Amino acid sequence: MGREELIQLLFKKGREYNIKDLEVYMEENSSLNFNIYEGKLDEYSVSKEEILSLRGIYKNKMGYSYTEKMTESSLEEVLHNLIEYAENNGSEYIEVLASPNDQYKNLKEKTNGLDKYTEEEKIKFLKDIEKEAFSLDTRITTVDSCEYVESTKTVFIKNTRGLELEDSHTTGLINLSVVAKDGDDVQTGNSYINFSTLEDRYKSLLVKESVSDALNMLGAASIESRNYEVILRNNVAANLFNAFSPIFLGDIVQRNLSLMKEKIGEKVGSDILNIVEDPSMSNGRVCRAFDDEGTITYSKYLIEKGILNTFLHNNRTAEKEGLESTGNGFRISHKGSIGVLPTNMYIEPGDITLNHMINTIEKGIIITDIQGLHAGVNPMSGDFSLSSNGFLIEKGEISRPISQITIAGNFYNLLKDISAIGNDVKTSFPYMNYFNSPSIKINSLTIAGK
Amino acid sequence: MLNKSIIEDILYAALSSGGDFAEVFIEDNFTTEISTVGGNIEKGMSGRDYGVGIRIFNGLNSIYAYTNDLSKDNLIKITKKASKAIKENPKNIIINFDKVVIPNLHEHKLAPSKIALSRKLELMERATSAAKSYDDIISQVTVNYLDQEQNVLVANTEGVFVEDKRVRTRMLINVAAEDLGQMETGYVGPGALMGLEFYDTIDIEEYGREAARIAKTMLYADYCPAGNMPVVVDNGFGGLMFHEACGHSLEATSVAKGVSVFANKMGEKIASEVVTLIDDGSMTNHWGSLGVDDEGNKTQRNVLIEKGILKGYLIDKLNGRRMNMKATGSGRRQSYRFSPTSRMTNTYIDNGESSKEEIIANTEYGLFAKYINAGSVNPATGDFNFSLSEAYLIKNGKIYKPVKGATLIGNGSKILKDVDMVGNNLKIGQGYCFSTSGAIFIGAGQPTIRVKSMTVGGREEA
Repeated sequence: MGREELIQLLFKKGREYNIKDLEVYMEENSSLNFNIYEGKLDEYSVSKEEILSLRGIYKNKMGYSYTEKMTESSLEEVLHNLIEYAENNGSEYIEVLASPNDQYKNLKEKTNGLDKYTEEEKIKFLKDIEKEAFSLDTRITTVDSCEYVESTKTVFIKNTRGLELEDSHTTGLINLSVVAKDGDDVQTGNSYINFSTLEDRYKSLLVKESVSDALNMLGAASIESRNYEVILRNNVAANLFNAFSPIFLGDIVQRNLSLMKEKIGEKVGSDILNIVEDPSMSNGRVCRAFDDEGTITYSKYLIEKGILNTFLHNNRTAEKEGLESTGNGFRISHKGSIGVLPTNMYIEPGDITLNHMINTIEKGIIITDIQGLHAGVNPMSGDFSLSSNGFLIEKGEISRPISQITIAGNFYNLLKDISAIGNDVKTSFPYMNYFNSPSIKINSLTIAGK
Repeated sequence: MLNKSIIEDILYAALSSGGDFAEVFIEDNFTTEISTVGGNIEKGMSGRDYGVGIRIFNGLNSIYAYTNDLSKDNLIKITKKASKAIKENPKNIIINFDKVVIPNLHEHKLAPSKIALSRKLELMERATSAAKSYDDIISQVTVNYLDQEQNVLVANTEGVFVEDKRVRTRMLINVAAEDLGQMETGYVGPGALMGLEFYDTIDIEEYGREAARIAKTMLYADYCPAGNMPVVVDNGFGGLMFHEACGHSLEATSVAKGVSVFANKMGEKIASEVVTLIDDGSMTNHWGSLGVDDEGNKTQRNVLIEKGILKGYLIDKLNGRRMNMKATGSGRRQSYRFSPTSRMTNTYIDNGESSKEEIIANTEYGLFAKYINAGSVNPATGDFNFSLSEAYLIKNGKIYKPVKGATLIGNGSKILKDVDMVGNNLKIGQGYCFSTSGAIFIGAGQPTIRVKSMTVGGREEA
């Protein structure tokens, strides 16, 4: 059964069940992934799917359900689940489905920037990367992962009020991970890049980042426990800020789970700190013209010159504050109801180079890798304690590699404690959220080592 | 799910470009995932996951395709498209299905799809009220409920044709306590490979109160001191430390390519003599168990380390080819969207001889980790980290005071040798594990154990 036919049948059955307004959210996803191992195509995968998520108003309450079984026989089940949800939904707030509107007229169709390369070209691109990684130094013994991930997501929304919207975005990711060995000493280096078109310069960029991290870490040892002046290198800052990004979400704030609560208009960070959320970033992980409630998206400052400017909202959280939605009403997946999610976020770069930043430190540490972000951060209290690698800085120069340490601090304090922002922007490893950051310098963090 | 002749057609199509092995994985999974905040539905829904994953090998080369359009035309089309990554002559392999019925050892009584949502919400409400009424400082209770009825069928060109039904449920209770502008949380997450009768076997209110107790304890705790010290980890989910510290490095995923610190060490002493490490996916009704794994093999008890000696790895079919070793019933994947690989099931340190009291009494100064939150590892270096959700300082052989914000870091091969006491109170907890083949359900357990010395990360200068 075709898409349109299925939707019409669903709307018809919905009316029969007395579901007042009904809205389908469909995703059409396709992907191409592969991995190169020792010069050969090692793992290769392709996929194609069309999945359905549903919301609708039954007896004045919103109900939700989903199915991946896109056949006529599963329509009864998906409507039954929606009704059961609505019957148990105690929320006082009544969600309103969007209606057709003039704002939607200017939506532009996007082009897929990765279509112009053949699969062979993409495979060759990755083989080149693996080869270059091995060629740089004999101590690189394994290229653990040399992986290409390309996905196209098309979102289609249609409701019984006549709204019909479609948006599509293709994004690619290359992830390179290498192992360096020197005697018994083993170190790893990892680099990744998120893109919408392939550029030749990515090859040496990726190789240089992961190989130099692995090699430079050889001989790493722990360090004495105490407070240090610390540089969070761009990748580390991006990943740390990404982990704390929920503190800017309207629903988290309203549920009392963010200490940013009631701080709009107040100074929450250093004067030089600007944080932006930008749904139209062309090489972003997400690129959406409208959110899952049909609200047109736009770019905004969350923090401007250290002052908290706004939280992110969907219709429901905005209404609670007497505000308009900021266009951040998204589903985490087709299996999730509409919550508040960020698209692409970034810290605006400053004008200092990383080298210059290092030169200003008498005795301190630059952190080049952190682990355990899914566990070692507490967005509610702001506390974090994370296993890290990095380098000792003495008299403005890098002196030796450090491993087996943790950095600990409080994120809310850290925002105020930023003393410099670099010009070297890097992206966080893209999962659900996406954050870009330059390297940043922090006056003091606790390091646990020996 | 799909009839035998269509599956056969897909498998033959998969071999048409020269592959030497092909597999079809079909999944039909009815699931409910609901979150309540203060007892009201906040998010989540019920629905059905449904799709097919097709895997083709040619030697060590592996190809995967998945789709949720189960029409024969589409399945053959996507299989042929994927198979084009192999460019050889067909090998004339004949498929003879040998349908094996593996008895389901993990019975369930109350199938989640047959139970009304309102009854699940009642259970969540019971946990919420119990937590809320624990103390006035409890500011918020979030309960995440999950159940699944996952039906899978695995068929391959070697004749395997098996089905498995996995019925699971779990409730994660998150409690926040707030006082004087400070907030801390506590959580517990009981679950089992069972139907809703699971909740008749436990006291869900007691779990709610336990989560509240943790939040309150941590709220009034001082920050953990940073530095090196002996660490006692309590029984139960504390076993996650070994899941991270050495479990991942024993998965064929990292052993086969020689990346793991434990590659080529079979038969060698890699741990202290008090350490015996087991992974057992066949434990009745345990959260991390399966009847058959996602490659169609029966799950089994695998001894990984016995009295300090490395005895085995966790091996999936593809890496088994690379290592020239048999699969161990460890092939797992999150869903049909993932190609399976070797993963853990229920992993635990076996009982030793000390009592918990003895272990603490023998520790002059150190850290007592009552509950572990989560962690991760770099399998190549063995460096691991995990954060604690409830911890105490030990002074003069006694529990002295609670401390918050603690992280433990270490190296897998070193910590295995530094375990110097193992208790006799084995308990297994429930959790998730995120790795190459997605998020899967795992058990992790141990008796109370002591590690001679570990690096403790905290916010206070020691």
